[in-house]
Amino acid sequence: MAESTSAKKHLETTLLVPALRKKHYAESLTQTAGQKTGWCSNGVPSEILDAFGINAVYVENYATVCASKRLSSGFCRAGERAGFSQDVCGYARILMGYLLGGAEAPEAPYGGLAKADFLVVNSYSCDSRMGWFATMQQTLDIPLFVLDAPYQPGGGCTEPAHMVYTESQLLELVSFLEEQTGRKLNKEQLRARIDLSRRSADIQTEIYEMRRAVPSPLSAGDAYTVVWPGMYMAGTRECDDFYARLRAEVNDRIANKIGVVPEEKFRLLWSGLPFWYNMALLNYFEDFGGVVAIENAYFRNEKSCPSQHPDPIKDMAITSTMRRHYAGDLEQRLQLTLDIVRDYSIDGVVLAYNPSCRLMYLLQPELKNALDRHGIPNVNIECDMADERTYSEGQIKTRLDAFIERMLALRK
Amino acid sequence: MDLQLDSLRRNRHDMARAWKNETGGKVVGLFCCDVPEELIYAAGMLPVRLMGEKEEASEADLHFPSNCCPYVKRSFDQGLKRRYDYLDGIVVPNTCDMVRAMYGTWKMNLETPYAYFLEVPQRISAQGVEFFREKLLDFKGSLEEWSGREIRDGAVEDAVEVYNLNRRLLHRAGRLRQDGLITGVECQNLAISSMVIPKQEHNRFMEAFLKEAAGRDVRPAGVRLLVSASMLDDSDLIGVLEECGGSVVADDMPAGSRYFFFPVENSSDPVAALAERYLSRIPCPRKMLPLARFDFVRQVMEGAGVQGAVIHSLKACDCHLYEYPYLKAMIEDLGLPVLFFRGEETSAEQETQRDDIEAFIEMIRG
Repeated sequence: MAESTSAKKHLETTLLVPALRKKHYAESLTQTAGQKTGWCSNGVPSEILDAFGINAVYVENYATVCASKRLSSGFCRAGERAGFSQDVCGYARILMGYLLGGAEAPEAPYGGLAKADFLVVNSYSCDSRMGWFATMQQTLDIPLFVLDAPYQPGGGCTEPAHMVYTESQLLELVSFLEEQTGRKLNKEQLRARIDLSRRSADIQTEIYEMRRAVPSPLSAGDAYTVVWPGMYMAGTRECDDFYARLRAEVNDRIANKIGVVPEEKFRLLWSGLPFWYNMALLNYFEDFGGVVAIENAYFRNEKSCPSQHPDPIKDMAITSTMRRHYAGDLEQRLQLTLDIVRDYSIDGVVLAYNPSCRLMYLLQPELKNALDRHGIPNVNIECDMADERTYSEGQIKTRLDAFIERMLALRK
Repeated sequence: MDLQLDSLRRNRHDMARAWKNETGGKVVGLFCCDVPEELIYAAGMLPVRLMGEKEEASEADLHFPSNCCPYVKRSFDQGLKRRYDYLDGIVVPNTCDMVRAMYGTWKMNLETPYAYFLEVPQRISAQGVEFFREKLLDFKGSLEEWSGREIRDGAVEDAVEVYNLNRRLLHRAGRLRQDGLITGVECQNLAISSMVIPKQEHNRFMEAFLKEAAGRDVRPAGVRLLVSASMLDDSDLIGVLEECGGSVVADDMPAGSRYFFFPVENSSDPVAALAERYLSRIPCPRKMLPLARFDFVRQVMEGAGVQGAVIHSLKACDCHLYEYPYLKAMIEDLGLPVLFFRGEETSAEQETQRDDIEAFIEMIRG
């Protein structure tokens, strides 16, 4: 296995995540008798699968695990050999390489994934997830459920038609899972998980808010790690405890003015996804007194919607039509990043062009135009988030050095 | 107006301007097969499909990155170059990431007075059809508000009739293509021109054209090919295939069969019938799962005597690129060879494709 280049972690709570992740994958390989395994895309509500007692495996995360362990090249090549273009999502190529195997596929980390009984994908995040899961269905020959929801370009909305459609799709998901597991949905469990999940999400929002502090108490190197429990353990007590502990540590750092770097000279925003195979790049700025104080992927600035209905499925439908994280039209998305620049005292922006993630990638040129219009220094670096063959250390660091110099000169 | 098939696409801007001057009506640009043009037609407006040109997307390069759909980017480039300055509105459906991104980018950078985002469910289901019907009623209401005129009773039914006639005529063109009476290029140009000129005018043109074509001598058969493509908004690749000894006798393309297969059913609720046709029947891989897609590909090949297939995907078209390995395997299982291209469809690229096409056709000839 190639050498890991993970980011240096500054918080003690962050150091708990690798063990949580390892445990999570180990548990998913030791299912209880009769427990079904569903491979899911991010965005499929884990609370529902958990309430069925399903072993939910979020395969995008496994792709980032492979990338962080420097295994993406071999898996991507194996996927490409089966006909998948380099244009398609790096996560998907890694997973297809893992599934299809062959001489180029390396040994799978964590002993591989639990064998899937069925697949669940959400259709509303990106094209790639749909294509990827449809092709996995072809390969594995197992049932696939597509969970749809209205797109809502203007952000959330409360139109009755949107709510009715969203509820119909969630109910169809429930029927599908009932068929797959032979069990009925435990609504009480679902309710409990939704409530817990919202509570942890709100703590996460508070932590994002706290990151406005100068010096930065928690930078992107830690942040991209601490999002993990919220994404893959949502609705559990363990997840809730994790964020409560993280909040306390961040609070403590702010109170004692403990920053990521001893003397903070500049603060950056990372726009787009990080390069999972080289997270240490996020620490690169620290040698110059800089810190990646915030990132716009996974960013949260709104608390969860309060419960709207006693029935948990109806509640999920109503609240999800009121808020949709990645939706929002272009101007709103640009404004959000400009607001982050203002609120987090940002001096410059690193625009990560991840060519195989259309969702993030397509936004970047207009974001660059907007930053230029507002006189905010920025630099674009084009590397895939997962396929490390696209990364060129020398070129990137030369660009970043020039950017830092330019940004600091502007401030004089 | 004297219409010549091979110049309809090239003259589309002049024709739209002429229509606008003559009727005082509004011209509405749109992307993709997902927008029920019938509603725009029923509102007395001219729907036109947005298309690009084979030239450097010098203006759009400032707004979109390099690894994205060249079709949408080039269409936007034409907008930035003021070639679509006669548009009164655009309608952008929720089709794919790139088209969705276009909605915001177009709105922000161009001053087209009316921009409408049409919600399209991303899954085919009965509830999806009902939801889409609601969204189409919203769209109809929006068109009425914009034009200041209610769409009269029966206007949607009339539009459906005109559009279904166009679909039947394009189907007939497809059969003449199989019979060797018209070329693949002509068939593709008929489909593309149908997207940019007033439908009734196109119907009249088609009737005359097909009558003339039915009386032609059968042309010498080339190697009979299926073309499956993501988006070819001109007939250039089909032209190269036919110059190299192929005869394109069947297609699975958004600017081809996917546009004109499946009529809108007669119904007392024409908007529901539109929702059903546009959501459930159009075989786009963004929402139709592979097995249903492959049924469509088999359907277009029926009776066409296909000897080989050319699959073309524009770069960064996730919807088609994921499908490719399985579509290829499905076609090969039928005993047919497959040639694959993935690119931007630039003129330079087409010249390099020529060698591969010649070798492919030679291989089939044996």
